[in-house]
Amino acid sequence: MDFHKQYRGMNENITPSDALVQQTIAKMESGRPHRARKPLKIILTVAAALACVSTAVAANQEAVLRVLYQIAPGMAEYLQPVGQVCEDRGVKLEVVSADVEGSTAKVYLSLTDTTGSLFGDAAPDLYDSWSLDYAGFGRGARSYGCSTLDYDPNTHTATYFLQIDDLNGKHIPAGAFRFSFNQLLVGREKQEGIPVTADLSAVPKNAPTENHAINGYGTMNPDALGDMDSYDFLVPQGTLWQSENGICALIAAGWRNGELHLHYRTDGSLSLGNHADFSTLHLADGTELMCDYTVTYKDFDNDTDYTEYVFPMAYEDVAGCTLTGDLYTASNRMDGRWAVSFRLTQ
Amino acid sequence: MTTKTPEQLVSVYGDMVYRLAYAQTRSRHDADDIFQEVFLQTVRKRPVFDSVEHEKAWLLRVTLNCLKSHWRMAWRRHDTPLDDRIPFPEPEDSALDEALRRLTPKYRAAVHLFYYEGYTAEEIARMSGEKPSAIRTRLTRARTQLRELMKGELDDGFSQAVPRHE
Repeated sequence: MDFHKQYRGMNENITPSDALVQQTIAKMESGRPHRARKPLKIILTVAAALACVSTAVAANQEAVLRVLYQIAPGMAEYLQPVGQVCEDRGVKLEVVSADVEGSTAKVYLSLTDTTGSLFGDAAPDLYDSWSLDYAGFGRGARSYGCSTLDYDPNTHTATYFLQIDDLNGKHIPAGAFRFSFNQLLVGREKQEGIPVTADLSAVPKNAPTENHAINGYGTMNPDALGDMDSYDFLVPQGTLWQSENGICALIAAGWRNGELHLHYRTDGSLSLGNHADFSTLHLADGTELMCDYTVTYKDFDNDTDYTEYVFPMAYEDVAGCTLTGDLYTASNRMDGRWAVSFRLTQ
Repeated sequence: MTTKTPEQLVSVYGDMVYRLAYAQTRSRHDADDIFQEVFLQTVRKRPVFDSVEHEKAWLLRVTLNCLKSHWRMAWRRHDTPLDDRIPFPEPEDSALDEALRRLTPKYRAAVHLFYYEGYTAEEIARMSGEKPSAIRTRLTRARTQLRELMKGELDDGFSQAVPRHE
């Protein structure tokens, strides 16, 4: 076997799907400084033409269509207008347009904070509580994807794109669909590069540990950790550092067997999707060092995650390390009932 | 910054980024995530390139960095991914795919950049922020493991340097 030739041949078949390419370009366009908007006259003409087809045109459709024509003009041309609206607890859901082609269904929808005080500066997260139901799906494997395309903090409106693919390539027939969700994470915030100002000058060697059953681990080399069910975590030593919002804290540090162990606590991982990343640090000479692995256990009763990050390091290098982290939080989770039914044709 | 539009960037470099992402993850679902994150970084970071080679190397370096982040956060996914391998109908290709899956991800990345993208160990080292000696060791170990896994079916030329190709 000629490895070089065979490896090259195999890779010729490895390409991104058309849907992935289009979605990626759309997201890149939505993140760019806005191009000069198309003349309003043209957009209104298109919106009016679509309104003749739809029997329920909602007020938000024009604004969302403007977004769609900017970020995905090729796709927007072929979408069927839906314009069905539902509002609950100050959040208005609108299924703006949709398309079914072969084994793929695509839906564009928007969420608007009608109070102006719920969403904050970032699009809310549907928190995996959404579903797109259709009697014609039946049994069979499907893949679901939901991505945020745009968020306008001025109008408090977020635009989302959903795609469902029948993995067996079975055509999705025309018919009645129902989109619904029942939870929203709002007030989302991302803080990157937070300084973790803990004193590492006296990190203990061989600090006490306690064994916990783990809920997950992360590593570049899964085979090295094997099928690990439990781990000896550092016993908490107090609050060595805490984030300004109090959600995250470094609660223990220790060194053993050529590794620095840093044990962090994060609150609200289940209720609010809060999570953090402390997987890199900088040595005294500025070199960035990534952890070998992380291990986590959850306190479900108190909704707290405990994660230990393990860095390969000589003991004499510990004191000179600089720690930073990224924190992803939400301020509230809204529970409600939002559902919209609509019909699509092939 | 790049003079290419998003559509041009994805058109020119999409296959390259996706192949490296898949080479390392061997999962379509994961490669999709990495692919999208890499190109979104071009919008966030707005890098300045002084040549096409520089542009290409930057994208590959960002792909490698995204892969590192991906492994750290992999267990956090709410959903359980389906078995989403790319099928290789030919028995020889299927056997090689199985062997590649048994390499560690770092070895797969080195193999891909060396044998498919045609970079030298020094160039791969610069891209990944590691020492050239580490990359050479990784390639040597990858070759040894693949030779064992493929039960001697690999050609003698496998251990030799591959000429740079465009």
